[in-house]
Amino acid sequence: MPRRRANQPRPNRQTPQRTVRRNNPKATDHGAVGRRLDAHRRCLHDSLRHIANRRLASALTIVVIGITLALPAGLFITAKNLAQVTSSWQQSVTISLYLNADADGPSLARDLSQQPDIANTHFISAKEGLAYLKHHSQLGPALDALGQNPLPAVIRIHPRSGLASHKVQALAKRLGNHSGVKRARLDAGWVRRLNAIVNLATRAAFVVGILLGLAVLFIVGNTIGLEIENRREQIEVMKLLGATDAFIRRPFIYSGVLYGLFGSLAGLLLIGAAALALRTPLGNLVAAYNGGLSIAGLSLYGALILIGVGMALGWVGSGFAATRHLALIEPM
Amino acid sequence: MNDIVAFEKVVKRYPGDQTALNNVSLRLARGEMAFVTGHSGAGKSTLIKLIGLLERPTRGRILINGRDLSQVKRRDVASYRQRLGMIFQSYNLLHDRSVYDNVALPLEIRGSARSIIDRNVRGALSTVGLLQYGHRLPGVLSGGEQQRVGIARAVVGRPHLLLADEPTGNLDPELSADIMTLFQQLNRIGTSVLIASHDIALVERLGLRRIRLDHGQLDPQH
Repeated sequence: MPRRRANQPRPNRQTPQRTVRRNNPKATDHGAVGRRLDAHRRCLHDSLRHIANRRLASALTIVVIGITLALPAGLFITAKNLAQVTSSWQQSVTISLYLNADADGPSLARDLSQQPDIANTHFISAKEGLAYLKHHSQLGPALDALGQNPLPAVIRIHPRSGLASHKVQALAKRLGNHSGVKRARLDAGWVRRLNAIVNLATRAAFVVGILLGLAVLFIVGNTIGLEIENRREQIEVMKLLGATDAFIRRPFIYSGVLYGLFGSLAGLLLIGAAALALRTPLGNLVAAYNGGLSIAGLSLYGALILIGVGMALGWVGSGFAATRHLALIEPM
Repeated sequence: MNDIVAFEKVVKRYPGDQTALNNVSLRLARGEMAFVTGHSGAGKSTLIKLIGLLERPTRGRILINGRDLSQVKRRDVASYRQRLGMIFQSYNLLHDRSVYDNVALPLEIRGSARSIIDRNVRGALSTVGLLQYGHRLPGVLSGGEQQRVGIARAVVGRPHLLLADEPTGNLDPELSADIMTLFQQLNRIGTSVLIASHDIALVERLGLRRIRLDHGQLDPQH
């Protein structure tokens, strides 16, 4: 058996036995569909072989794609968790209704609790309010000196869980116009600001996702373009033998899709590693909120989407690059 | 119409007004084997390239199997080449594929069934005496063996016309004679063969028809 020279390409690992087995007509012929599937299987095999033969370059490409996909995915996860946190804080928003002196507070509180946007109501009489103020402040003697209770009766309203911020504001405005209500106060400015930050983070993740998606297209396109240039002589020979551009392009598209697949898997690994590294500080943060918060990672659905996006970007990037480069190659 | 190749007043000029072929008219009958000879730069390779649609004529008409090549659109060039067998001086083998896979390539390109690929590849390798080397890489074979692989690849799809551009240019006289014998065998089973060669001694020994080119023009005695 002749030895392979150092500068020779790695052989197609096909032993004579495998060749015979591969070419057993009884075992392999299944008409036009079978031939097509067989051609695709060969392309997949060739693409895997080329990726494996260029281990270092392929690994670098895959890692770069992985980082590029992991960044927007990480941002999306962060935005999703922030949204979850603000949603839980949203539930602590209350509307305070300050009543006129002649209003029937308990009856009004009962009526309001029947409304669909209201989870529950809590009536605090003027007397209870004054007692609370005296107990929690140093103003006892001053309040006593006034001679009469300056505080109005209050109904504290908890909006229905999950009610959108703008709906909570509309509810407060509507309740403020209710008869017997002197003024309605919604103390949710900070929640609105936080919501705006979350919306910004989500939008930023989307924009960064698009930009980095374009970057993946260029990375895959550039890698495939280089591979085509490296195999220019082979491609010229194939064209001389009558290969169509579609035939020559097919293994390169498979390579692009495989780069996308392996890159997205690398991205998932990076996200997993980042989650592992952040687990302790996040655990401390969650503990600071008495365990009321839970941090969500990438779901199975999210992981599948990331893999799908990676493969689709690989397909599009390699398709464009292969079409453009192959059109420029003609046998001499 | 019994000609497989017909050139009618073909002119080929390259940029810089360099005339490679000038008013060339010739015919090759179906089943015939002929040599195109001439010194370097005489236009032999251009003639082969025009038939292989690697170049288009500046003027004139080329008919292959009765088909006017000027009517072959760019998108149809691939399917046209699939029906030709082409052999090159530098063998043009794919060095990361086994000998078997190199020979199988034209049939894979056509989308042939695996049983047909296997039968034809074994047949072609057997014809050139390399059946036992199917699993080897071309790089470990000698120059003569590599050219045999190139010939097997050219004939595996049973082309109606075999074109060879200096097929023995890199081989010693003994191996060259072997390769020419192989071409003659293929010609005897009905394949038309057109070979461009500058090896006059080899061509004269075979005693076959010679088409002589000189500075892009046909030698009147051809």
